[in-house]
Amino acid sequence: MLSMKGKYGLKAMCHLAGLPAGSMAQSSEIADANAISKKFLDTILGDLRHAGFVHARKGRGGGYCLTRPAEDIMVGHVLRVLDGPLAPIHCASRTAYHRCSDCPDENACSVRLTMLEVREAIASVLDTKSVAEMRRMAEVEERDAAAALHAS
Amino acid sequence: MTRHIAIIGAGASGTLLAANIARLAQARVHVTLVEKRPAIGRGIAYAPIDPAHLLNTRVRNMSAFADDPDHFLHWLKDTAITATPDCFVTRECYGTYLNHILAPALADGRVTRLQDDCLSVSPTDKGATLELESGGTLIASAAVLATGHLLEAGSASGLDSPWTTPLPSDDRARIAFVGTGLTTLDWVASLLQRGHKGPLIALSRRGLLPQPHAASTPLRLSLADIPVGSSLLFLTRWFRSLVRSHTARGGDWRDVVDGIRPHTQTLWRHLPQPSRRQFLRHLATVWDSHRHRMPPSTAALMARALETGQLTLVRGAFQTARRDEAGIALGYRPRGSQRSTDIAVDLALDCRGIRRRPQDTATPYIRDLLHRGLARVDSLDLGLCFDPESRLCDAAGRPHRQILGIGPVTRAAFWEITAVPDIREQAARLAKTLLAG
Ligand SMILES: Cc1cc2nc3c(=O)[nH]c(=O)nc-3n(C[C@H](O)[C@H](O)[C@H](O)COP(=O)(O)OP(=O)(O)OC[C@H]3O[C@@H](n4cnc5c(N)ncnc54)[C@H](O)[C@@H]3O)c2cc1C
Repeated sequence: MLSMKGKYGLKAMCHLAGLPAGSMAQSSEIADANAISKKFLDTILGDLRHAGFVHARKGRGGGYCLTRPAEDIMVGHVLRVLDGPLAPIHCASRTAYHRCSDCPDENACSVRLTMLEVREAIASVLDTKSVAEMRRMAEVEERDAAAALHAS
Repeated sequence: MTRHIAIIGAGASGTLLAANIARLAQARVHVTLVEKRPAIGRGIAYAPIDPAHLLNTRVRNMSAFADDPDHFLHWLKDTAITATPDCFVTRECYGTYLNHILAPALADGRVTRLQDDCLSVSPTDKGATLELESGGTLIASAAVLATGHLLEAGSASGLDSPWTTPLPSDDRARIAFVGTGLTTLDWVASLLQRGHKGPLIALSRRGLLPQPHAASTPLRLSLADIPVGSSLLFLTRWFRSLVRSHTARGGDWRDVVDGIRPHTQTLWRHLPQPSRRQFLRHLATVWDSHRHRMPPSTAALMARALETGQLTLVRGAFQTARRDEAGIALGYRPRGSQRSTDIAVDLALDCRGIRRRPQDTATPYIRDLLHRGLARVDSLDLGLCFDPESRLCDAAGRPHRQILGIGPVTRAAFWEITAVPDIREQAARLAKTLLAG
């Protein structure tokens, strides 16, 4: 399940993917552009830094940037760090496993077994989509929408 | 038209690949195994050196075919060798198995073997050509490098090679090992079983012996559980906390290590470059000692030798081995000390394992590939660059369509590609790719 943290984290990564090479963005700038509270964003950026996706530099001219090309960072990789294991429900994770309170036997639960399959599918989509591609998708949509508006 | 596949090297990797191809292919494929040594299916690991040398992997993980995991067990039964899925048989026996699985294809001509040394490989429009030491040329639709770990040019260290040195005849000889991994254990096991009486000294930076095997039920981790792509710092914290919570529930750390194993290649592929460097520098030794474990019988043998004092573990950094009239002076710097010291021994062996600078390799065809810009060394000096489909990359990073690699040759791309369970997966994949053309 995508949490707010995961969602905002991906938006921040997309923002950073659009920076010209060598430049950095301040967290207030990212927060404003994406309508996120700065305080919440700072925690998220802290997690992303800790997991090695972003660099931070203090002081004037400082801010955040990606540690490697956005082509090399997969959406699924970022989400695992912010939201934990990829899993549509908690009992479909082996490491962050929580049993449903109303479950008599999770090994025989047909919903859980199905969700175990679903999460493999989720992983295969999210682990092959890079942050760069995610950004490009949004840019194409934006251009198409603008073109449609222009034509009408 | 018949596709002709040339495999260079018939150790475990080349043999596993040939057997996997022969098993899939009906006709129209011919494999030539080019091997410089007289024996095939043995390589450095499975030659009949000493029956004391056991596999460090259980029978149930050693089938030659990824989709038929009991194949080795059944073969053992058919050969009247007593075995269970969980036991450890000799390495020599595994070499015999590898020969056996190839025998039908060798008999009916789908696979031929050529005893020769391959001196160079070149890409051509239609595939690849090999130049052989005998003077011959082999023209193939595809070539596969299966020559194993890189060999060092000469021994600058002054140490002897554990692979080529015979056991000393003097049973009072003082013997030192640089390295405390599986190679040292093999030697110690052989010596003890022969009734060696002299002192044995094993030197390494941390003095870590491989961990012993114990019953383990690997955690069934999915890639969705594992924080792929994150930094080494994040990964190690995640790993430690998983081990803690698993052991708190009564599990064993081995379950976690073995649960990650199917995913280590993916982890390596997405590990950021600075993290890879840190891993090689600070963690690889510790990881290896937990990942490549020793059979319980070997562990008991070591424990006894340590207890009687015949075997000593010395923690320190190896510096030099100087030969004089009295024997060999093994120079090292003890851990935590600034001053070097010496130990006098009669034989000193280089058991530091398999990490070698590829630029220093003695293997002529690899030097030639590098020299002509047909291959390049990865930025961590682990080996030649291959793409994720195991195709060799040239100096500019472009993959050759018809030159591939299998086994430890490809370790820069996959890292964990030394043990049979990993090599056989790669063999199954490559067999499909090669048959498709
Ligand atoms: C001591 C030891 C114990 C091991 N135990 C286990 C175990 O218990 N379980 C497990 O899963 N794995 C084990 N392994 C790991 C694994 O099986 C090895 O990594 C295996 O040796 C890899 O085989 P290879 O064919 O790639 O390389 P090698 O064994 O090195 O074979 C390469 C072959 O290529 C030939 N060759 C090289 N260059 C040329 C050339 N130019 N022309 C022609 N021929 C050439 C060589 O003569 C050699 O026969 C062990 C490894 C070692 C060293």
